[in-house]
Amino acid sequence: MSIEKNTSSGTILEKDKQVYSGSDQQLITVAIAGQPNVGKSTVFNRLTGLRQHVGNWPGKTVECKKGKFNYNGGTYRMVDLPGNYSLTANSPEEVIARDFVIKEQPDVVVVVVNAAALERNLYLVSEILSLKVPLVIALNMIDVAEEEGLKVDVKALESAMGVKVVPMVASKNKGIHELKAAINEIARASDGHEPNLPEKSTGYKEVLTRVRAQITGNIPVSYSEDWVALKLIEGDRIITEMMKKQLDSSKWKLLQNILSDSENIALGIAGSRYKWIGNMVKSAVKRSEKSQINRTARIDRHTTHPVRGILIMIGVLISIIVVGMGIGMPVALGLMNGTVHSAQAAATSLLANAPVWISGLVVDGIIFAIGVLLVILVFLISYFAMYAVLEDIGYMSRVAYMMDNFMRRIGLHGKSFLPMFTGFACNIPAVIGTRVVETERSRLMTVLLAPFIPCPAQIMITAFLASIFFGAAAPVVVIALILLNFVVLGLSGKMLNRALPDREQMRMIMELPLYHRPNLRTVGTLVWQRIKQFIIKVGPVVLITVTVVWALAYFPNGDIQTSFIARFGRAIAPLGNLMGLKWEMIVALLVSFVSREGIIITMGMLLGATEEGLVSTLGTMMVPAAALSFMVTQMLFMPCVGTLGAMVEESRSWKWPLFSLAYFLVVSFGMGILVYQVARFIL
Amino acid sequence: MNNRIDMPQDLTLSELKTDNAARVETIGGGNAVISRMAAMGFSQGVTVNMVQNYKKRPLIVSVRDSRIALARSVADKVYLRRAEY
Repeated sequence: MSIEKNTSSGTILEKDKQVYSGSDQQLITVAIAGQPNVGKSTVFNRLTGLRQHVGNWPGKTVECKKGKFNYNGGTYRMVDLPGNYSLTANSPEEVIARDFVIKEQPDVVVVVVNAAALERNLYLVSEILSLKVPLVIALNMIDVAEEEGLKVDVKALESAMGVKVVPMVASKNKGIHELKAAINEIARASDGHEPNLPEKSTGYKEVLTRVRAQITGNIPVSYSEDWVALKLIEGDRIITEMMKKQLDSSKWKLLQNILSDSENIALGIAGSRYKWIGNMVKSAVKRSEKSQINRTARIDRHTTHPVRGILIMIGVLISIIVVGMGIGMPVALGLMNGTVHSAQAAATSLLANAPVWISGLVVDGIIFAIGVLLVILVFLISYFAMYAVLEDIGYMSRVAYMMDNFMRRIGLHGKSFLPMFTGFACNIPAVIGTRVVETERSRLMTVLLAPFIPCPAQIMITAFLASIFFGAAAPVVVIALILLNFVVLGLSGKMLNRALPDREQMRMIMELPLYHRPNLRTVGTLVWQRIKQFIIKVGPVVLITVTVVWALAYFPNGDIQTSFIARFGRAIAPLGNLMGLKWEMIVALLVSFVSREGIIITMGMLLGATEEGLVSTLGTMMVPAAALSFMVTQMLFMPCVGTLGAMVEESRSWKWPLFSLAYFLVVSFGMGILVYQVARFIL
Repeated sequence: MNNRIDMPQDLTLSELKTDNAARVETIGGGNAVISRMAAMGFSQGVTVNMVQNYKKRPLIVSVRDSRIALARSVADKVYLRRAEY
């Protein structure tokens, strides 16, 4: 990861400036920062309402939300910084946040702080303070803190820190107006504020001086010497890289010697920050001893238990799939058989006098494509809502805790587990759901691996063929093929983990937030944003692809048997021969890129068989070994167009999804060929 | 790290039993691990309480009003001193 790349976070505002420059209003930039699980999104949503834009940080898969609000005649542009525990480069999120503060110099930084874990939250505040930016503390969740027996004296905290503190309960809309007023006040204050900064303890002062001596005069603009020295001592990867480029080799050597002599000095730096925090909260926080164990601890005794926890988790997973399918399937069928059918019928009669191909394009191409998209949306809404609730109440972290050991073996995080698992219902929400995965690398890996989880359509087709070819043994075959997918997923994960740069050595250090009731507004906003983004970004891709594939199967003669796609199928017949498959079957596979369910329809059309006749036709045209090969290939086949679109959107690149497409093709056909060549001697 | 031998009351975080508390003496694993642990609430002298410690499973500890899940390999390098001493 290069420094140049990171500076690109700066460009994000340039476009905005042009947009806003039309008005003569004074524009104030407010960055909102905070550790995870502090209700930062809720504060952001309350401040900006739905006037927000969700995108990604340039060149990153990290989500970037922007919005604005008006107050007192001024327009405030809000930028939501990624949630992070500190400003040391442990993750791309932390780098983005601090680069934004250092390079963009926002007019005000709002740090949202969880009052129920004040000391730990102030650690980030102490780091941001050292960047010397105007700051407001949004002391959120004071209701939760009081439940936990903590009472914060806001005035005492304010005067100790020399920073404006606004108490709030964002989920209940308390303190939002006061926060706007505080932002306004700080933004318009002409004199610089004078916060009480953490003192440098004698423990590391000497090392700091020595490090500074090496780097002085060689610091890129907008950085402060002290801060760079501190980050070097803390072992910050990005800053270390940056200084390696800045310094000549002799100075760099000397610096390295100083740094390697000062092992564990970061302990002193952390210590001095917490000493400062201790002084800040000393007179401000009153604790009442609570004898009863809190609700979170009671729930965790079950949810994180090695046996009960797993059982609960399995229950939750099954419920997610069942609820999602229970809502999705009937609505999808209703849409396809009802709404889409009647739309198709209406269009057919309307276009009765038009050329046949136009009627075909509208009816079987465009209207069908819209139907496919609507069905996808129904599934997405229900799954997004369920993810959002599980994340909001705090359960997602518990699943991550339970599954961490297992997922690390294939280079993923515990948090990758749940979204990935729900691929069993549909791969698209699985891919988009990976947003809960905190590190960029692990998220990319999860996005690329998720399509190995077979979706219901894939399993259904496999079951359909297994019942034709393997009779009573069909269930065994289906389960074996699902397991094969897992094996391939695991092996691919291991390979990918080795191949990707910056392999994560860091083992789990993860917060388990307090459980709380889901906030419908937070959940609703999240679902709305995700759906909107999917429609805008992925929707057109789905519509166009479905229509194009229709055209390929229709033209030039209006007959699939002689269509372009059939010609292509005949051309690659030698590939089919290796798997014992006729070209019709290969074409059916390729068409499943548009929609998995389409495989059976395509087979019927190509083989000229009705749905009932298809069973006997298939039974006579393939030997069991070839059928098995087809099933294996189909189960491992490349992601469908909706999933691919989501992969492009989530990984913010074409490179990775195209690579994965090629990888899936090679793996699925490779496995298919292998299975046929082995099975034909056995079956 | 030799501290452990000199002071028999010391133990690592992985060895702390459920519902027992102790103070952090030092954190090993290098400056990068230390700074990450610090951001999650760990520092010299802070009291940690073991919430959950099942064999071979990651730990759950409570520190500065937060519950933190920790891999055992991380906790192995956190040295403690019993709070009673």
